[in-house]
Amino acid sequence: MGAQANDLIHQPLRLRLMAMLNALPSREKIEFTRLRALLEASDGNLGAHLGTLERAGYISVEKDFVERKPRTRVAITRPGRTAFEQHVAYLREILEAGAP
Amino acid sequence: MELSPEQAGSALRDIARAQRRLGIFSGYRYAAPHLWMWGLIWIAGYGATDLMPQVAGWIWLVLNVGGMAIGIAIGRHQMRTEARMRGEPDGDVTSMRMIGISVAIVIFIFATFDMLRPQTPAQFGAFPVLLMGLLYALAGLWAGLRWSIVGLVLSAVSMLGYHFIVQHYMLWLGAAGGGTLILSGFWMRVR
Repeated sequence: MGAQANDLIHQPLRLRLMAMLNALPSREKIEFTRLRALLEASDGNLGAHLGTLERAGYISVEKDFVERKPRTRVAITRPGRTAFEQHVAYLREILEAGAP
Repeated sequence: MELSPEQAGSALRDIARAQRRLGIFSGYRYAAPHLWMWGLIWIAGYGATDLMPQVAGWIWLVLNVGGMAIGIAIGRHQMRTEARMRGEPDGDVTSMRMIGISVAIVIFIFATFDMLRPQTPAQFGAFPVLLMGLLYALAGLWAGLRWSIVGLVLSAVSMLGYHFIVQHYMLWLGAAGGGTLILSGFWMRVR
């Protein structure tokens, strides 16, 4: 078994969140409000998971103002892409190992 | 962390579903300005057809050519905006696929009119709305359920008016058909 599991990414909401961020083109950011709607998560729940991923260095969170309204945007980092892809490879290995 | 093959498979399916959902809702967002534009074109075109049927052909030619040009410009603007967000140079932002789709639809409509020859103005008017209804309904099978719903509504609008609003059918197509496209554009932006 070559690939590594990633417990931090494997949490259900974080897994879907990382999946979406990984699907965006390189360096593209997505707004917090849009992410929240796509994931059907609450502000607090999503905020907590974003904090966890940011502390791990897997995502970057950028805050600014647009027409005096606060805006938060999220993007996956290079280490985050690597970690996610390694976790996906791990999942595929498990699946293939268990295939008849 | 020890996972069973079933758990790994479930996680991979969750990943695929999440990415598909992102793709679908991104597609909805980009479609909105196009739907607004074509809604306005239908309102103008069908309205003008009702008021000036003798020059309807020329009116639709101008509106369709203009609509395609504006649609390409909107698409280029959207792609440029995305590229800038990523800090990339603009590059080639022309969507050949969009141009190809528009041209193919126009050719199909003209070929159908030429070979099948609708007998009444109402049939001429109904056909593009029915066609777009079909295309949207089919597109929804891949691009998201909202497209299928919009397609079904357009088809219903066309058929309902054809049978029950005969005297003002062109106005109906403009208002109800064009209005459906405009409202759909707003719906596409709802998360």
